[in-house]
Amino acid sequence: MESASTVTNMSRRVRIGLAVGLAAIVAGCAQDAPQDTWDPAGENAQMIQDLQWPVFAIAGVVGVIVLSVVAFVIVRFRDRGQAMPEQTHGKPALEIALTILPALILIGVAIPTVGTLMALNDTSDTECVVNVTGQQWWWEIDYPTQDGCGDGISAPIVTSGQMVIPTDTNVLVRGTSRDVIHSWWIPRLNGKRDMVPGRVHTVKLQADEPGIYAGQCTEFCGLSHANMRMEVIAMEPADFEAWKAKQLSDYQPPEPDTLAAAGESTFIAQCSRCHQVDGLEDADGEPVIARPDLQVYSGAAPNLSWFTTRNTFAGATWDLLIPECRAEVWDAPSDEVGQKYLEGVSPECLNSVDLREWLRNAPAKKPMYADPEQLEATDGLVRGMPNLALSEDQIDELVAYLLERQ
Amino acid sequence: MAIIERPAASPATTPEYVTPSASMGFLRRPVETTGWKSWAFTVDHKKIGIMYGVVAMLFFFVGGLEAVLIRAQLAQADGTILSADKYNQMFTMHATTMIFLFVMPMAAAFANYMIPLQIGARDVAFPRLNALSLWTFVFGGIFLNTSWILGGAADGGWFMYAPNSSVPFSPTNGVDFWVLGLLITGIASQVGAINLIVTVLNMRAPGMKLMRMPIFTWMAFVVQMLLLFAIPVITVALFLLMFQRNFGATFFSVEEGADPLLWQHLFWIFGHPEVYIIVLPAFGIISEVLPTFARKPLFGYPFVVFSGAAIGFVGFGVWAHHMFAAGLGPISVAVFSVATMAIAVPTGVKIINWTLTLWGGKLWFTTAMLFAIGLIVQFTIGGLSGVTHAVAPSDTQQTDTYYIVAHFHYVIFGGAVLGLFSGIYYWWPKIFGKLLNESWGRANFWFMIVGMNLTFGPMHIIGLQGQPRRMYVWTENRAGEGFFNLGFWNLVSSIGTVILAIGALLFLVNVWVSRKNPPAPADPWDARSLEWITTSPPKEHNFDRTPTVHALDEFFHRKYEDVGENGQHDYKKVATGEEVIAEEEAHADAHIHLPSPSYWPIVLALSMPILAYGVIYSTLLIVAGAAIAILALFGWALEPPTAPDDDFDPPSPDGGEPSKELVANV
Amino acid sequence: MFTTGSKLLIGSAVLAVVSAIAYGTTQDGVMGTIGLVSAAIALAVLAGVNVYTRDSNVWADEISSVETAPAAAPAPGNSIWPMVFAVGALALTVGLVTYQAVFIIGIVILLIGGAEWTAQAWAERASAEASYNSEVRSRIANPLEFPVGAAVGIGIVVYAFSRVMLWLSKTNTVVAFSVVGSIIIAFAFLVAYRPGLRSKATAGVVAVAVVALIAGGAAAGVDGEREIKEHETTAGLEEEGEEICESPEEFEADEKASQSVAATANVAAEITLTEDGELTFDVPGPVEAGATALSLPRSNPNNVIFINESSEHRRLSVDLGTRLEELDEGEEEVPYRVCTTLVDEGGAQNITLIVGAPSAAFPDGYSFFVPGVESAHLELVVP
Repeated sequence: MESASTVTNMSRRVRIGLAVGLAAIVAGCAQDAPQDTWDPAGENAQMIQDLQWPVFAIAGVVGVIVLSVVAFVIVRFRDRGQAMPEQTHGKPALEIALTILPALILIGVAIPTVGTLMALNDTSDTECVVNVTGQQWWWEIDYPTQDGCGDGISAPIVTSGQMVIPTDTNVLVRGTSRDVIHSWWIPRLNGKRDMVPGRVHTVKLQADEPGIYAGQCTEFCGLSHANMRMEVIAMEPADFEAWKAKQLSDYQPPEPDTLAAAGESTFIAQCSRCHQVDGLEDADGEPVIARPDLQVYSGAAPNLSWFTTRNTFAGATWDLLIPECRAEVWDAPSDEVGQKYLEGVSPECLNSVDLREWLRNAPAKKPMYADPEQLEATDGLVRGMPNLALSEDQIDELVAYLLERQ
Repeated sequence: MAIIERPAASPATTPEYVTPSASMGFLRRPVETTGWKSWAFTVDHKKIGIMYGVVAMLFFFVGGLEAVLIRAQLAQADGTILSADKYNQMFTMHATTMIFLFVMPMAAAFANYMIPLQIGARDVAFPRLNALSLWTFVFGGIFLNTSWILGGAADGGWFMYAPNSSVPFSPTNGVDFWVLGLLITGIASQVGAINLIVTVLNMRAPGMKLMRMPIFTWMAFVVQMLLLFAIPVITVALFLLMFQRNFGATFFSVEEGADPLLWQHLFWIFGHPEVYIIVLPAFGIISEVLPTFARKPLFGYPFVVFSGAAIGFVGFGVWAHHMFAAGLGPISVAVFSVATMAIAVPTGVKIINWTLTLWGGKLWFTTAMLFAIGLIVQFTIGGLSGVTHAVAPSDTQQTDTYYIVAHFHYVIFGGAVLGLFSGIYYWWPKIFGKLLNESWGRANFWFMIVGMNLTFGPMHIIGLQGQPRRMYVWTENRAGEGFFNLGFWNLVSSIGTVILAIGALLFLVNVWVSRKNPPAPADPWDARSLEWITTSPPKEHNFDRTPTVHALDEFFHRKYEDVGENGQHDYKKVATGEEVIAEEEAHADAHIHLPSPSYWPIVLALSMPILAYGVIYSTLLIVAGAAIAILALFGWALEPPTAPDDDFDPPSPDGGEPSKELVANV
Repeated sequence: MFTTGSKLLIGSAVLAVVSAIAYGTTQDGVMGTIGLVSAAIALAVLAGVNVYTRDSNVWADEISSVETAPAAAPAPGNSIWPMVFAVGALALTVGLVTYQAVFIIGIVILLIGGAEWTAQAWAERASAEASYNSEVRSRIANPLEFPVGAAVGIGIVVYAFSRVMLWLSKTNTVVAFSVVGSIIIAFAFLVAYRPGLRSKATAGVVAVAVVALIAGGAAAGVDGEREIKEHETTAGLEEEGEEICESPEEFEADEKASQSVAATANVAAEITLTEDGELTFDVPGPVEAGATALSLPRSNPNNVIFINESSEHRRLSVDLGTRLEELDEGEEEVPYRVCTTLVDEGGAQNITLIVGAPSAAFPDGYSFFVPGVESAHLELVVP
């Protein structure tokens, strides 16, 4: 009974405080958060947003009504020494009405929900198919031979971490996983879809404007789940054709007697067991075919043929570009993004710090299961890139070689 | 302890002499009435309820510590307080501890303590089974937490999706500890559910029809029915996983043709009713607290009962809303989406009824009342965010982000935990005979409310801005521009955790400070239901005579008489709580039998962690554990539930000591 | 102090120990030594129990009870358990020199007989009243007897039924199952709706039925199973390699739940052998325009369903280049094929393809084909 008035005054003060706080919160949202779910950049995300914000609005209105009523009740009916209140047991009519009302609101929400759901799952207008395979802790992206995707793809393109698509094209991602469940999510383009081993799921992507759209694996997949990211780069159809041409062009071996040539032999000796570079030939002129299924538990490793045409690596966890160059590409206006991206990674822009640290000791940089002493559970196969104990010279050579992969 | 009163109206005291007969020649019962043995071997539902509550509260702080570490790691970008491995263990154990070792047992504490009192019974239907539930939970919880020092705790998330939970992807024993620990605590819940269902259906006082039961008992009853059908499902899932990991089964091996979604379905068919199991007891508690402190009955009691039952029922039909992004296909997703919206309706009914209970009342803002009103406010917010992800396409953006974390913390913390604290403050004088300090209680409440809103409020924003959950770091690259970016809100959330932690500690301070308070009256709140027609704390046999019930809110109607005319109601106080209790005492039963304590429940409970350690480490331990279990079951079966009356007779006048041999009982 | 019975048991235990040592050091049989040691332990335990309870000799513990023992102290009643125990001991010894199964049966009988004998003896010491004693015996023994007995009984009934079902022909089992099921339901209705039915009659009928079932089961078990075709699985075929996967004949499709189509959703591809002998494929979502080959990711557990719409039994085979085979002489590159079993017309089967090497590693790449159907060819691209 004591301090009832202080309590309710506090309640009122707190209520006002909360309301102000709420307003501040709404006003103070991050600008340009790369994975903002309320900033659609494609028709699929737009469909979701068109459904989402009215529901939020309704929920907000209902919430404000309920909280206001509670606030009113607390103030109006506090104990002021009044007589014993009327012992009402209920008013069935009122209760039934207040049960039917939310039910009607929810029916109103349910109908567009089902409509949007069906529309999002309609894949009949697909113009380009891209396969995605999740693996601990990176994404493999491959473009199968097809007539779509602009002027067609004449041979499979395999890359990782960054998916390049033409704008205004209905892209269908067909995805699965090699080991545990992952989830493919590019918030500004569409909702997420789990990538389940043994199953194939599809999700549509479509970008209106050129740009770099960030995403992240959103199903807990083990140690480095936080370090499993990806980006979708949408570019104008002309730029996309240029990108495809590059990816399908022949392998250019480095000039003899350069650091990069030494890098090529180092690559063959140290890296090609797992990493594929298409067209690479060994000293006898035999094509070098990587066999990661013999080294890695989940059976694959990123294809590095055109490594420096993309600008993130190691599961898109680190940039290949130093911050200034990165800002130039990522923050470029939409009419320049494609061209800037196609420039690839130049030696001046290379973020050699992270790349060298990775080559020096990958498991120390990104938590993975690659310690040879602790691989009993996976029959001696690693989950992630092991520490190859490369010397600094070998790292120099490899960096030079990788810089030429564009 | 069987109590036999010879002359009527003498206060029941524990007899000074007990000469337990030896059943079958070598098995005797424990006889202690004080000291640790009287707690270890008790079958008294009140002692068991208190132990449930104390251990649950201990685990609350363990889980809270894990949460503080998680938020400390996420306060800054690229945090270094926890390694990736430790972080994954931390969030797995935080969720597992909070759900299985805090909220569920705390609700069980209230159910155990209050249900017999609220229905006018002297104990539950199967008292030794009750003790088994308690000790199984305690040993299971300890077993689960020994994983921290035995090679690392489980690190696959509390939902433990396959195939990440298989041995190649989780090579340490952590997942095995998780599986076996939950199997053990599952036994506790399942057995407790059967016990309480039988108690509610069979042991109500005369005149207490189902629709005259106190509302907390009703909600707890629905919860036990949910447990009865949900626990077997997770038990199956856990057995499949245990066999996969320990005995080479291939239930979740994709190379052998398994579908990993099997685990998800099994887990969530349990997991969704589980969240109603978590929140309905709190709903029941505040449905008691609000009427008491509003001085009016619960508005729409039948509606609240039926909506609780509806939630229980429909709760089994919405599990796949945890799997909207899992690739089920649009038809399944549409069905579950609509069903999930449907279940919002009965929940909304409750909020309406609670608010209308307060309407027109005479509100007395004790700490219990503050927590109850806090629940209404916080749960409304949590429930509305839940409605936003009932919309399946939106959910594909929201699921697995911090928006979901915000939602379920608002409904679990803002719903279940606030409700449980309300119950603690409300029933503390009844259970322990002392009132908790109101000023400290208010501090406890406000710190918790402010802390919880600061911690979980920003998570809505963080989630909608694209921060996924279960990540040991977040980076500047994904944090966005501006002052109020993800970094800011993560920091606010982490600071909120500190305030919340202080709030929780203030509760302990309150308990400590109040330990020397004067004894509380039997009816400090002028309450309405049957459990208050007892002393504070209740006597061991609860009621001197089993009360006859004439109406809902029986206690209220004994204190207040309706003297209104012509359909007008006018309630006049005709008796105080003490007078009603004295009236009952005056007609005390002459001969009261209570169930007797027993060794077997705790021995049987002890065999389970031994079995579990055996599955992980050594077959010999399996044999030992099985042997102890069989012996305990056998001994239990041989022992009668109540010691015979002769045990409580004084020794014979010639002073001969009763023989240790079998006594002919002709 | 030691009663006659105790002396017997102690003596037997000592004898068993000595025999065990003698046997163990002279003979080479591990089983025999174990058997004798077990016997020694068992006898020692029984001896210990016997000393503790001082079975059957009142004057062993109290001289005075000769005067104060109730006049109507009954003699121990008839009991079958000593004989059962002896039979068990005999079986144990005989089993040592003949079959191990007999030895195990002997141990089981010893355990059961020993437990029952102890329970009965214990109960008989409780009082002078036989009815009370039998109640005590039930109290002790029932918690063990009922569960074990029920489990054993159910096991026997179920096993007998299974032997009968394996003996009948496939169609007859369906008939038998339906008939038996209907009889049981009819009987249940009878019992439920006619309470006047004499319980003795019902018990008699049930007893006859159970005995008949067990007898039938024993007979069927002895006679042997009906002829059940051996069905290969696709995993087994992979090891057979070229001979099977290039052959349009032999084994029928069946078995192994992991290959059953009903349980698999969202597969990587569905490959159909049409009536015209063409292989077409379908994938989740639309097939990409202009695709003539199926593309599957490497090292991935790809579930592929083969649907046979032709009018013959056909299998789907996959040509996966070559692989390194470890032979006694060294390693050798052998052709690598995997395939389904033969699938009925209109049937379907699942195959889980995990391909480690890319198709570029082999000059001819990978392909699906159907042995026996020349036109059925589908390229498989693994990038």
